[in-house]
Parts: sequence; structure tokens; C-alpha cells
Amino acid sequence: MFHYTDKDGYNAIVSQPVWLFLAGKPPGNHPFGAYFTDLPPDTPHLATKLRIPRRKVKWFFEFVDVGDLIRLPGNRGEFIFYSPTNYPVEWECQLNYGATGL
Amino acid sequence: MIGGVDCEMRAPSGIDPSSRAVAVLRSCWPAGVFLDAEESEIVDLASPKIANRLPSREFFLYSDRATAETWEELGPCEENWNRMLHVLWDEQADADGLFTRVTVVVDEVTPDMQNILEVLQTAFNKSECLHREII
Repeated sequence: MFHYTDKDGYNAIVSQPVWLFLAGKPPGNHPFGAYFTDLPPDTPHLATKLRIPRRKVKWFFEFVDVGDLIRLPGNRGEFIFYSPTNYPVEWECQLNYGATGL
Repeated sequence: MIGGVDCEMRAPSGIDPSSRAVAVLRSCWPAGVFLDAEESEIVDLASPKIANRLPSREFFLYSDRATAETWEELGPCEENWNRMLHVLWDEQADADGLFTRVTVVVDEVTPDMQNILEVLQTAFNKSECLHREII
């Protein structure tokens, strides 16, 4: 599972031993939550599929999906998931992080 | 990490929603272009090439080529607002086999966008297609 963010978001999350993805109200009609995707960084048109600017997919965190995230309703639920509350990821579930190169 | 408003429609199973969406948007956006989510070639909606491609399960429709070429970099900024539709649909029909779920993602359901969505509904199925914002 992946979380994409910008430089400021990346620095805030990576500075902590337990990654904490903060829940918030996204634009549009989506539920309050912390948002994730199973689309890897090399996915064509990644930012467009998430409907965010490229600067918000320049940094990523990858972690083990333990099956507790909720699929977004609708067809984008094929690849977008959320947690309705802040979502901590302990070090044993942390996989990769860094720049996407996008 | 997510933007847009997801609007759910349904279309009769067996139709190709991508070709119908292209036909509708060609009239709404005469300078519009098409981009398959798995490809990089931007195709004019008015181009004959559009009729010869395979159905796309996920694609983007832009109001014009300039918007298509800058959207990924800029995202849903003021200049691009509501100038791109992201359309996704299920290959599988629903449980009773009659309908296919279609999601159209827009920036905001303004009156103009509502009109486009309603024309899309009509194109999918004049009497049966339903759409609602996904909450």
C-alpha cells in the first residue's frame, strides 16, 4: 500500500519512527480520512488518476497492507483506500519510502 | 491524496461507455481530446482514430489539448477546473447482469457540469441510467 505526498508532508511523516498518516477532509465528496492507494509510483498518469497535482506524488511511503483500510465507494475504490482516523504504521510494516522520481 | 467528486452512473451491460462518452463530449467540447489511462497518446475527439481504438475501461476526457498537456503537472487548479472528466467502468455487469457501474470524476458539480453529466446519462441509456454523487 502506498501514500503519496509533497515534500513538507514527507518530511513530517518520515521524521517519526512510527509513520502517522493524518486524517483530514479531502476536496469533493469524499469522507474524512487518511488516503492511500495500491498504485505504485510507475503507474501511468498516477497524479491524474488520484486527481491531484504532480507535486503531491513526488514522495511516497510504502507499507504492508494488513487489510484494515476501507475502499472508496465507486470505481476508484479499485485503487483508492482510506482510514477514517489517523493511521499509524509501525516500523515492522514499513517497506520503502523516498522520492518517486515523478 | 485524493481530489474530485465521484459521480456514479450505471449503463446497460454490453454497451461500450467509452464510445458513448466520446460522442457526448465531442459535442460539449468541440476541441476536446481523449487519453486512455494506460497510454500516452492524446487523441482529438474529432479524429477518425478515435473510432478505431478498443474500448477503454479507464480514460480521461479533456476540454482541449492544452489542458490535457498540463493537467498532470498542475492538477485541479483554477485554469483546469472542471476541464477534465475521469471515467471508469466495470467490465463485469452487476449481480443481475443488467447494468454496468460507471464512475465519472469531476472537480465540482456546477450547473454546466451537471448538464454534461445528464447528457452522459442520456447517452448511456435514455430511460434507465441513473447518476448520483457517491457519498
